[in-house]
Amino acid sequence: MSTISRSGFQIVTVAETRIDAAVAIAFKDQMRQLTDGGAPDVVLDLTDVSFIDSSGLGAIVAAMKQLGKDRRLHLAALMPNVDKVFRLTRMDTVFAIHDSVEQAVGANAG
Amino acid sequence: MLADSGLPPKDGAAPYMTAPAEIQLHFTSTDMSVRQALIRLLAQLARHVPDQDDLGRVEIVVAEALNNVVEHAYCSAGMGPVDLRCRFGCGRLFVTIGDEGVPVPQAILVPEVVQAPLPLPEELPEGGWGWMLIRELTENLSYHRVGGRNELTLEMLVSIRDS
Repeated sequence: MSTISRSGFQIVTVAETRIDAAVAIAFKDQMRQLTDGGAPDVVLDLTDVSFIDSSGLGAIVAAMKQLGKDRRLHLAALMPNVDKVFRLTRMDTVFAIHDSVEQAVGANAG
Repeated sequence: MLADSGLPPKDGAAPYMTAPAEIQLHFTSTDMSVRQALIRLLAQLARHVPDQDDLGRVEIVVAEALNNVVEHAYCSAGMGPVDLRCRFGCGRLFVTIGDEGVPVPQAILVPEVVQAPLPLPEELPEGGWGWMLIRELTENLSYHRVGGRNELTLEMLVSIRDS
């Protein structure tokens, strides 16, 4: 995973193609390290992620909770099968979901 | 890529008139072997199932069922053998997962009728969606405890490529 700052947002890009039980704990730990002390709005770029299971979903929820009440976790560029998991568990109502990182940054710029 | 002609792609796969042969996988219950088994299963299924949405649903359901085997059935025993069989029939895919772990609690297999309101974001659980996903994406579930083994069969509607 890597992170950059853009238009006041912290963008975290996931290099894994799968966020599953095999990497969920490491993902959560890395998110904590990468986002510690960063911008209030964090965008998780999921462009390369083709599969997520309930463990991976749990790790993303944990990452959101780690940010605390005053910061927000946005999700960008969900592939169809990743989007499906968010919708079926109703987690699509909890996160701000954007078609792309550009949209996530743009939608919150104004 | 060629334009979609409605015909099966000429990828070298032999055409068949009947349902494709059964797919079988055997592996040990670790997170990494579950991941590898899923990748192998999906590669094999993709030869018979053309629709990405169908394949995606199968991947989610089988992943959650296998995660349950690793995390719950074998939780106290460390790890153990898992076998997975797939067969096609009547427009459906039947996936049977066998393990030698502890039985699945009956309460888990009962469908949830009421959808409770979601808790506040800061109080959201960080798990427990596995069976919800399985129930939402399967047509039918059957579970048997046979001779110290769990046998869970997941039934999903999928379109099979015909030739």
